[in-house]
Amino acid sequence: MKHRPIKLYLSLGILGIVLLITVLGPLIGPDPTFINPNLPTVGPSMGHPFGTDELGRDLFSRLAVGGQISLMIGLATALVAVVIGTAYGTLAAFFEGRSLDTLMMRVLDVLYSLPSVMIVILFTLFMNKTMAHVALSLTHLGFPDLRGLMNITGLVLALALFSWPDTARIIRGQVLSLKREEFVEAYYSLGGKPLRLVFSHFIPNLTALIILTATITVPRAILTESTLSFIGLGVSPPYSSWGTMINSGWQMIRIAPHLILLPGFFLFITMVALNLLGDSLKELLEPKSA
Amino acid sequence: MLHDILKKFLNGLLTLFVVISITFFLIRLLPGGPFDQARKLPPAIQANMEAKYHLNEPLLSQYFSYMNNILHGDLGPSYKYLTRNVNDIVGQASMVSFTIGGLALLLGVSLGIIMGTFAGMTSNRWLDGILSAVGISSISMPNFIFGAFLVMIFAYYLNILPAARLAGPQHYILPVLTLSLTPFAYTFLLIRTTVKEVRLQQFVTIKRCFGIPDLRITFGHVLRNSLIPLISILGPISAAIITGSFAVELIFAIPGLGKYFVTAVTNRDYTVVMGITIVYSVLLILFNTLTDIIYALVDPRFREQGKMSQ
Repeated sequence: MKHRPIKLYLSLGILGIVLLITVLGPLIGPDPTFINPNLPTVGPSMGHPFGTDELGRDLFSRLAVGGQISLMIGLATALVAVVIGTAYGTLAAFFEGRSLDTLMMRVLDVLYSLPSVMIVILFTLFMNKTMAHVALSLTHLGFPDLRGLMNITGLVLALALFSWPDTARIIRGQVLSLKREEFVEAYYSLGGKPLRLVFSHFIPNLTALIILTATITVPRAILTESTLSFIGLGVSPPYSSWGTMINSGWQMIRIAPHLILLPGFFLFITMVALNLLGDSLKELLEPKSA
Repeated sequence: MLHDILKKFLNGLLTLFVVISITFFLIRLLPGGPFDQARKLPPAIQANMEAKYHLNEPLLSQYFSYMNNILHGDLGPSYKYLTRNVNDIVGQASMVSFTIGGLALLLGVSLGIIMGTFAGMTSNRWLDGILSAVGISSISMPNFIFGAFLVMIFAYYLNILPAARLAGPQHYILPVLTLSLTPFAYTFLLIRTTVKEVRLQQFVTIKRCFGIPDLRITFGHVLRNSLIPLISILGPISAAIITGSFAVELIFAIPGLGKYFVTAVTNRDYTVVMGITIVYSVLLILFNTLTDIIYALVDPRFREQGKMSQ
């Protein structure tokens, strides 16, 4: 390639810095849960490089921990969506032209026409309830209290519900064209079984595409999560994400603008980096469209 | 053609039915009901309230009577706004949301077309770089951050525009600007790519050889070809506007559908939640169906395909 993939370098660079801060931040910064009533909403200073929030907690550490939650939700959602989407897409492609394929595609059409935010909101609340039950029965079995974590799991499942149709459609298209390749004919004529064909030949062929769809899913999931958290229906205490931090920053916007500007900035550059990464991967995979 | 339209229409109705059913059962599965408050009502009164709205009946019979009411255009009573029914609430909130959403769609798409065309035309490396940055930033910027930013600049620091509520025409400026960000980003990126692609085609080179000015080729011929793919993303754009309106209505304290929805979900005001979901679903399904139909009408290639498959 003549021209260097600047987009790729730029996105990896930004992502590297963001990851470094979110992973190392809580280790080097002050305790993000430590409340200091003497220092509420202080601007950046030596002790607190990003200032403190309305309860006097260190904003740098909180941003790092919040970032972990936001990124984790994005990655987990993409993982779930890609697994379901790949399985669904491959299955549909194998039943091409038959009624099962038609039915499976009709289900996708319905999912596309749903007002997704509203269903995600309702589904998140529903999953919260279910997951709270799960957490409760786990505590009976001697596990620690996992309700907060279960709430995030519920959110991830709700987000994944609306993320996998894209993957399913793309994978189905690709499997349809793979099915017509000569090696498939050769494979069958040697007495191969379809299941093994999928796992040892199709999936390796699909890897690049799967990575690409996962990369596209992550920023979308993070965007929806932060929007839900911003309107108060996403991540709930004791956890906080960048979205919930922006929400509390919004309420303090006249007194302490840094409380919304800093998490907003981090969310924004992460989104930029993830979108750039998706773009450059797409260009690498389909050099024609670049 | 007519057969296809009819099929699309029936599919839309089926989708709507699925949405209504899912929402109906999903919201009733949530913990708590409309009459569970922080300060508990005496059990007798609570039972009376639930009996008044038939909430004590079996779920399935509630479902059938609700479906029956919807078929007659009645979205039912609200459990929280005791003097207003859901048709009333949804009607008023729709006016607000549709005005802002419609204006944002118009503004975002037109700006996106104009800037996208120029971005597709330019051969200047620096300008192209800057416009690429504009594109990637606008698609990556969550609109609530953009909105908060606009409020900070125009309402608090410059003090030239109101920060919230809808009291006059100038109150519409910031919410519409905020909400137009996503439609702008989608349109801009799509038009830029397609204009670039179409300009590489032979007919453009030939026209250039005839000495037709570049601007006229682009706006007269290239853009027309580039607008067709735009129709296909109108569905996703309207979905994005609906998503965005939730945050925007919160930021600017606008009494639209998104704001009512969030309040109603928290209050477990079942009928209001259902009413708003239905309105938005109908809108989305309509947009998607219209998109398909317009696409078939506009693009002759698509039309030929349709003929051949029949």
